Amino acid sequence: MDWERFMADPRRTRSRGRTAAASTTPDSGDGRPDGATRDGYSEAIRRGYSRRQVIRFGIAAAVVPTVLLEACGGGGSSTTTATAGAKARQMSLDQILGLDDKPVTFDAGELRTVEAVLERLIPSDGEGPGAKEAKVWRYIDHALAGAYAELRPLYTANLAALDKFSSSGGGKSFADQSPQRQEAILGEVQAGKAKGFTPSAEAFFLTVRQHSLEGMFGDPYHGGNAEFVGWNLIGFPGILDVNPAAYQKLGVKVPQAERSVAQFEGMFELDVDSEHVRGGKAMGMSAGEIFGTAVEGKGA
Amino acid sequence: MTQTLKKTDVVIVGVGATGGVAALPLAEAGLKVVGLEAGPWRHIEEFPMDEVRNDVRNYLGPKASAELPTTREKSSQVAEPTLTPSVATMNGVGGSVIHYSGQSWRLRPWNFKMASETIKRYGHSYLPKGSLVADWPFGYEDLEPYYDKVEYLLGVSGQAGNVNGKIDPAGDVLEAPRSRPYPLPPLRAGGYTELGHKAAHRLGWHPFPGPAAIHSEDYEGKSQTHCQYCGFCTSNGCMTNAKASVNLNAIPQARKTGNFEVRADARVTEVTVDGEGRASGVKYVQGGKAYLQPADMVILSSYLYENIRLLLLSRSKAYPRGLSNNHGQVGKGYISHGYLIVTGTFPERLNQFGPTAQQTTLSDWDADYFDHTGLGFIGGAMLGTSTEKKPIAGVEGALPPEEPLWGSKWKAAIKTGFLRSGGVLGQVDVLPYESNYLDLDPTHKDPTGMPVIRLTYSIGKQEQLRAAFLEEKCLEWLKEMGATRTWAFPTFPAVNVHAYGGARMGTDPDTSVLDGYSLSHEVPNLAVLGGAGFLNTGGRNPTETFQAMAWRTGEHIAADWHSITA
Repeated sequence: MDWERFMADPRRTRSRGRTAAASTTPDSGDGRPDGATRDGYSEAIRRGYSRRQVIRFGIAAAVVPTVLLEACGGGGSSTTTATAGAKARQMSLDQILGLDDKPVTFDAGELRTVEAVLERLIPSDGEGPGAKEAKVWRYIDHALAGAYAELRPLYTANLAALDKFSSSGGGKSFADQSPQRQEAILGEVQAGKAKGFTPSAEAFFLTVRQHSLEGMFGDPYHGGNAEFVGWNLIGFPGILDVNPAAYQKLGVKVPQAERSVAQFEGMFELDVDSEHVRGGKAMGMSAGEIFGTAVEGKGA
Repeated sequence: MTQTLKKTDVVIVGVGATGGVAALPLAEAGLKVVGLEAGPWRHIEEFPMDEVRNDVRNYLGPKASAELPTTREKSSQVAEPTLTPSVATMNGVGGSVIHYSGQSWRLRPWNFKMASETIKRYGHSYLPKGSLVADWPFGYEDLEPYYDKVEYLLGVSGQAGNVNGKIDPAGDVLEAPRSRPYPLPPLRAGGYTELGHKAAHRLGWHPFPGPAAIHSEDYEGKSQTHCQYCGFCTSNGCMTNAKASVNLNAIPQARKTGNFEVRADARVTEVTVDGEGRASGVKYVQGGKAYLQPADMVILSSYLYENIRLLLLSRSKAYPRGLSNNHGQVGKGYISHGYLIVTGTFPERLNQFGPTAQQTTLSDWDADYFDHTGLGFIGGAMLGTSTEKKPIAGVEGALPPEEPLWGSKWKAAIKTGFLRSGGVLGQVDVLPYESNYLDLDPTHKDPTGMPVIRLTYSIGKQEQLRAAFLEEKCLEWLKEMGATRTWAFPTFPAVNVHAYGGARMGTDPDTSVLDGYSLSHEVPNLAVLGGAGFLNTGGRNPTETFQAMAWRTGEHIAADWHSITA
């Protein structure tokens, strides 16, 4: 099948730490230096995985992510058994992605306030996990220490403003208020009625809300959506490198692949010497076979 | 210290959708072509399926994001900076077609003759006061051979509806004759596109699968594998190279001739002119060093805003108001596509995970395929079913505006609504108006200190009527598809990935900047490609038209080389 050819294509062999596959690569002489990729993906993969691996969807033990076995002391076996799959899953997604729960930029007080705000925006309730389980705070914390560094002063000023607004007239800081009172306060911030915010209360509210969506429903690679709770909540299956026609049918309940882009080995660094590819087992499978159970039938 | 390089025949500024295509006929004709691209070479490994990085943060377009135009509605106002980085233009060899959705459309014969056809059928009153509607200097039939070349170069997947007059009801029965069918069959149907297809049929409309520059099957070994329907096309490169971006076809093919040299990370700052007012080359910065690349022919093929900015920044004795602007026409007639997003709630899971270009589309409400008598507007939109549902955007689009934005009620609603909300999208015609234009912002600068473009832009009465009419059609379609609750978002962004005008084509230098081959009236050895030359938007994605025009221009320059560069 085409996918097998794709994966086995010798153009995809690694060349000095970089996939030489893409025909986007200049053939020669254009002075593009070899070197690290331009963001941290390969770094994440190095952190989480060994190089000799072929990662497929981590569901239904269809194919064992060899590297997880290695990382868990499984000895690098390439056998594909349900037991091995279960063992593989003993490694948490945080471990795979090299994430921990130490704040990078928020201090303890800020963290407490941010967590309280996020709990109101995306509550943990009877409908399922919320911002807390998804570790949305961590997404924002990492973003403010990196891609959104220019917004850090906005958070600093406005988290303080929120506490000041909450405690004005002898009240408590935001995190110490009751959930009902917190909702009322956030409502005033959203409506722009709260004073003391930069550049405005509405702007800050919308910023935090936007970031909360990114942290809840963005790829876990960025620190939020921990253990895929955001995607599982709404039924987004995860990153699928092959999306079979059966998954696009109406009414079908697509299995949750629970797969981060950082777990998608195929496009980043593929070791064609791996047994999976040589044996043509994993890569020769149809999409349905890859997913094991394929389609689960009509959902509610 | 500027280093002057060896003169080349042609220098192309921006190696993307249009520059990449124009390079091909030039290089194949034996001309020495240097392509300068502000972005880097791009690699498949840079295309992770990550909505945060690609869509939210526009990872591939930091330069483009840092120089977004400022906007205002009227010239009496002070323009505001555009804060969102989500306007999806990017930088890199291959340009924004690396991360576009891949919808690959031909415009309709009517789009090229909007003024004369309107007057003929409805009278002058249908061309509103203050509008700049005009016929193009060429027609569909002039461009057809180049549409054909582009479709076969890229490997466009689609279902023809009219091959040399032979109608096939499986395709677009309203399309103008094409000389050949598409090289590849259309992308497969999904449950949601089938739902839209059947409903449109029941309404008596003419649905068909939209054409895509995405390989539905392997095509001449140009992709590593055909489309896998991963659903992360937009704002991202393709993880299997199934999307027919020009870095995978035109550019390598042109480089194979040995006549096309691409210099990446090379940012052009000025077009230079000689004592006679002819373009003499470009200045650029690469790796912190300044270079002058002399050339006999200069082609501007960056994104529209950058093309116009370079013209306006390239001031000289011969062109004190900017290059090719002695008639004061640069920047005039700016237009931006309108979008109509109409969404509905459905009883079952729609599973719209897949490419944007995997869609059911229809032309019934575009161009002049319906009678506009009494409607008060001309033009329309191609309508299509929306797919490519990603989690963050999908959650945002899942609920009607009256629903809460946060809290337990919101969470309960998106929990079921994410998979059960589906939309149709219209790409709405917008007319050019005298009051809409581009110039340099007097205060805002990009990080290198160059002023950014300022947009002065607002829509007219016709746009409102057109959007309202089309909204009804979208609602009709969605309801026939089984949607219960519906809601609409018409939007007319000023800054847009579908931007047009600013260097209008025409025959008269007093009212246009470019001729029918996209060559400057004032500077005969200067071409400006892409949307800047357009006189109206058309009701569908523009890229294939940009590319067909680029090929035609490249071929014309090569054929008339001596007279153009004399």
